[in-house]
Amino acid sequence: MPTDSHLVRRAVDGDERAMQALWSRYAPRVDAVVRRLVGDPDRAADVAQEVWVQIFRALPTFRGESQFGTWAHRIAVTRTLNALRSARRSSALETQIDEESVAVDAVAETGQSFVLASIGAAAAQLAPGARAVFVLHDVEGYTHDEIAAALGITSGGSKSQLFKARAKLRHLLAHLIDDGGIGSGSTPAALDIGGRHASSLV
Amino acid sequence: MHHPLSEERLAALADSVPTAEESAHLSECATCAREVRAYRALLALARAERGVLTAPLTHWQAIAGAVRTEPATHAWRWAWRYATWPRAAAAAIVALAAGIALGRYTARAPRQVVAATSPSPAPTQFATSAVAPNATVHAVNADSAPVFQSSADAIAALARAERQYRRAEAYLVGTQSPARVETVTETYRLARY
Repeated sequence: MPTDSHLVRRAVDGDERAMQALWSRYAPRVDAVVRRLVGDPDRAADVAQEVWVQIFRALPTFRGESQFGTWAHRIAVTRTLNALRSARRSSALETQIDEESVAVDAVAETGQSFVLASIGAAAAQLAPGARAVFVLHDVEGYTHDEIAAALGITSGGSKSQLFKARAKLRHLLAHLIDDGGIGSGSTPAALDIGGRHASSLV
Repeated sequence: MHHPLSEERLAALADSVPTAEESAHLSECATCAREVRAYRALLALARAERGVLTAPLTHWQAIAGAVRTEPATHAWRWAWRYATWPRAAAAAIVALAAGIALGRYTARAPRQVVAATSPSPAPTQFATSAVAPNATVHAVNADSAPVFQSSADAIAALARAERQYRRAEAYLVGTQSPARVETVTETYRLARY
């Protein structure tokens, strides 16, 4: 199997088969982060295609100082955040997060907490700014400083959005967390806690 | 019971260390301790999500089509910016040869002046014709626009440049992939028209 660096060299020279091999190898990971950041699957598919075109455009700049997958992943995150900005779907990224957008009452409004199958689906219900921070920090492992730089916010703002996003997800995913035995409380108890702290969220 | 920890603070404790006061409260308050465990479980779910790979959202044919239709100017710019130095050097030599040929042609009459021109920092050297006081003043700096005496001169220069181009193209075909040369030549055509 050809190495990444070999495929990259061939792809830079215009070899489409090498490009396809790189895409086949890394599309599951790259497309996954796009999907998590964007939320909407149809929009995510469009953005993912833009991301791959951008990756191949930038390929001559790849110096091999990091793994190709890591490099491509960074481009995916950057390009996706730019796409979200340009689409004005992430206005909360540049401004203060909308407090209402992460309020717990969204659970009651949607009534979907018990049909959510994964954390990815739950994250899709977050406001774009909160989703980006949550995905980048808790899923992708970025630091708050890195997130702040990527989103043009402060590190403190990143933390604030993260904790609010977690609070919402904790309730959206109560059926997974509480039934999983990691949390010892039942869902009604958890909701009771949510009610107790509702003043800080709603 | 008083609960001093806000929901956001409980969420933060998923991956941060509680203060001594918070630790004391968590050791006594089963409700808050349960919430912290729930947030840690949420964080574990999120981190597990990182390894989840799903079917790609994209289709290779669509990406390949988009890459193929990239504007040629982009490819040309990248080729210049990122070409390895031997290729860049070869291109520079070809450009220099073409420039010399054009320069010699356009400065045919005052050639002795060109030869005498020193590489001074002055932006332009003028052949003020010490030999022929009434001669036309020509700019002979390499960056100057060529001066043609007639349409025939201009056409001849164009034909000469075309031949240089063909030779450069043939050279590049031998040193680069055909696809890239095709892109470069296409860029040349676009630049011309």
